[in-house]
Amino acid sequence: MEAGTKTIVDEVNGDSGKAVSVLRFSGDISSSSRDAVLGAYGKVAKDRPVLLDFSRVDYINSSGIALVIQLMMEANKSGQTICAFGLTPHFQKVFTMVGITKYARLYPDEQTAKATV
Amino acid sequence: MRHVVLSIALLLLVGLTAESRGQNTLNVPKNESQLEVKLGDGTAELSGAWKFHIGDDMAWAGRDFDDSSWGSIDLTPPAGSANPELGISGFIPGWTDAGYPDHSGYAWYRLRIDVQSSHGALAIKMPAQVDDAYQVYVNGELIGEFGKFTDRGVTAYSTLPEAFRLPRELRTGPMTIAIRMWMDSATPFSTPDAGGMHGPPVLGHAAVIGTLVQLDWDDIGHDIGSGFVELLILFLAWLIAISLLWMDRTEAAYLWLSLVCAVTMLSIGVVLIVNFSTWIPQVDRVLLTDVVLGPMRIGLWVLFWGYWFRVVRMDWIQRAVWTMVLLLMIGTVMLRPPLYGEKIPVHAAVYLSPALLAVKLGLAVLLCAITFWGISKQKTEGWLALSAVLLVAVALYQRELVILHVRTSFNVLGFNVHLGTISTIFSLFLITFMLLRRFLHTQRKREQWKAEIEQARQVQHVLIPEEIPTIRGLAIESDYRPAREVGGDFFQIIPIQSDGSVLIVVGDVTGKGLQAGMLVALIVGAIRTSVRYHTDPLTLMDSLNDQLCDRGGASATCLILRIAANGEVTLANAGHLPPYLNGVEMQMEGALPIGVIPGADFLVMQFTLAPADTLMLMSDGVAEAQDAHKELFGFGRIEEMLQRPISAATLASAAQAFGQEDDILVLRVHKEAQPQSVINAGAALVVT
Repeated sequence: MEAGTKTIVDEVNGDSGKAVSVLRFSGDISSSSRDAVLGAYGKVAKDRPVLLDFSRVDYINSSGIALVIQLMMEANKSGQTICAFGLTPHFQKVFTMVGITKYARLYPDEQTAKATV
Repeated sequence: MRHVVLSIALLLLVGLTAESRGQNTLNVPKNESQLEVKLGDGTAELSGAWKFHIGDDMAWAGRDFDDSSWGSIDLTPPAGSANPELGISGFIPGWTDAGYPDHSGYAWYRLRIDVQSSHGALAIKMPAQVDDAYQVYVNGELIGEFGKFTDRGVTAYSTLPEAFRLPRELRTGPMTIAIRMWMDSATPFSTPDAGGMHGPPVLGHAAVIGTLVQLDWDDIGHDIGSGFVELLILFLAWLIAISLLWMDRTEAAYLWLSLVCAVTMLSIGVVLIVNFSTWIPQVDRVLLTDVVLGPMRIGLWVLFWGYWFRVVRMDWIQRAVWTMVLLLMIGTVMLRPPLYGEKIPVHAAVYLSPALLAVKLGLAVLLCAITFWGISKQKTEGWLALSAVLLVAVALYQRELVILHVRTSFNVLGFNVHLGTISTIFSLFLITFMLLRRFLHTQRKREQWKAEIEQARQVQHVLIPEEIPTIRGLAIESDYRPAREVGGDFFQIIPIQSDGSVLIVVGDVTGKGLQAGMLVALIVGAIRTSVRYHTDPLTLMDSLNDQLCDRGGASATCLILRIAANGEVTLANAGHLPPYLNGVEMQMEGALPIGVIPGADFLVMQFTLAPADTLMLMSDGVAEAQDAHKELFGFGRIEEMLQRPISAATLASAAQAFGQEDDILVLRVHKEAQPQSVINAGAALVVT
């Protein structure tokens, strides 16, 4: 049974004191998550880095991966820095395989991610 | 039927006797406190002035108690309203209109009578309208009660026809009737001119009184009998809604209609029960029907229409409806017993009543908005539903229509029928018709959809034929298990006759089902076309990427291998899981899937397949199979299984048994130690 995706948009400060937007996803990310992924990204300010929190995501299927790639592409167009954290080793491997790491850096946790932006 | 015949016979007897004797029902006051009653074979209405006192003292039941200092209440029916032979009279205002406006609780009525009776046992029939419970004493002896009088208080019920036999020895002579009355503190606020008896008791011979009580029951039957018809129609509508829900669980409107019917049936059932029995106390009845079921019924109807019209923001509608229903419940309970008049001050009604009306009308506004939205979206079906919505609104807002002087009660064949009942019945007929119409329409669409899916599946089978070409030096086997009828994984095995090499293409389009299947058809078509001009994996990948990017909104991971006759392999990858060579995953850098950005760079690697080498190619459906606990099959299990030689089917079966989520495709390419096969030029593509 596929669980829906919930997204909470947080504003935090990176270690450098810079404002950072955090998209905290939870549930499954699939073809029905367009609003939760791209819709949520559309609402964040484009002048600051964005962290994608996958620590509460249970499953991402190929359609979900496609949405994340689309998000990366949009961020890349506007020169926005994107980092992701909280991915399981399985999905770290999948993200690497589909070339997401060329557009976003992956970190094990939020603290490490915040330290780099 | 026996009762009706008996009733008519006795009435004729009473009527004939009254005519022949001129006056057998006489109630002439001898003085202020004594009534002389001459009973022939009939009855006497104990109208006139009764002694009355508020408070409670069991000594007041006594025959010889001196009540000369008490006040009095006149129980004479309004002129022309009484029918002593039927024991009925017009409404007499209670004690709150007779000088005791703020009194609730106990009060006593007393009357001395001098009975002149010819024969037979006597009985006393109590009025049809009483607030709220009472005990009847004759000469200090309790002969009956309505309601439960205990040390902990009094439990009242909706008034029912009641008559009590007098003691056998009391047939003639002076008697004192004392009635101990109790009224709930909330009754004055729900019943105009409340307090005590609203008609005179009737004294008479027991057999005749028994007949009068039967007639009272007949009256009740005629007054609320239409409720049984409404109940039956509601039950049929509920049955249809439940059956449709069982057959099609995707249509939420069926569920909400069944809930509406269930709640309405419960509400009507309670009303019928309290009018025919004392199973449910008055306070419980009020709490059930007014406080709980009434507001719920309105809310459920609004939600039903929301789901019927397929309103997009039903989560918002749900929140709004249940908030208003809760407010209605809270407001209503504050204006009903046991809180109103006890915990909630009486003057609170000044602002509570308008507030409640506003909330109730708020639900009506929401219903209007939903209907307007539904009509604007659904056009014909919306207009068809409009009349049903209007009928439902009339049923729900019947009380408010009274304020507008709309007639809400009709006499149909002797039965009292309420406008709400008529509206509910007609609306249910219309809604049931609409439900069946929608159900049949949905079934037709579903059949059509199934046929289209089947056609798409057959097209995919044509694109991926179920035969593997024989390639010299290679043993190729595959296992493809779509998650749905139409799969989103694909593969092609294309022998290149010019140099004896073979092209193997494996991929996975985004998504599942028909849309993915159509995309597969597009990609397979593109591969077959491109292969006529290029056989280089990278050139082919670029070509596929360009074609998908031109289409827009479609992407796929893809792996293209060209295996030369001497075992040299050129491999291009676009985001696909790299192959496993002899059980070890080949290390490749990641690359975007095709269809994401035009001109993307794809990785190419070259290696040589030695004799007895095995390449395993698979889609992400293997690693991402999930069990019931959402645990993934994972790369670890794949590597573990590939530590020993296994077939494509073994790996695919293991992933599927673990918990298939996505299409599963496994392709095994084995380089034979001693070439045995030759290229079968006739066969181009393969699948199992």
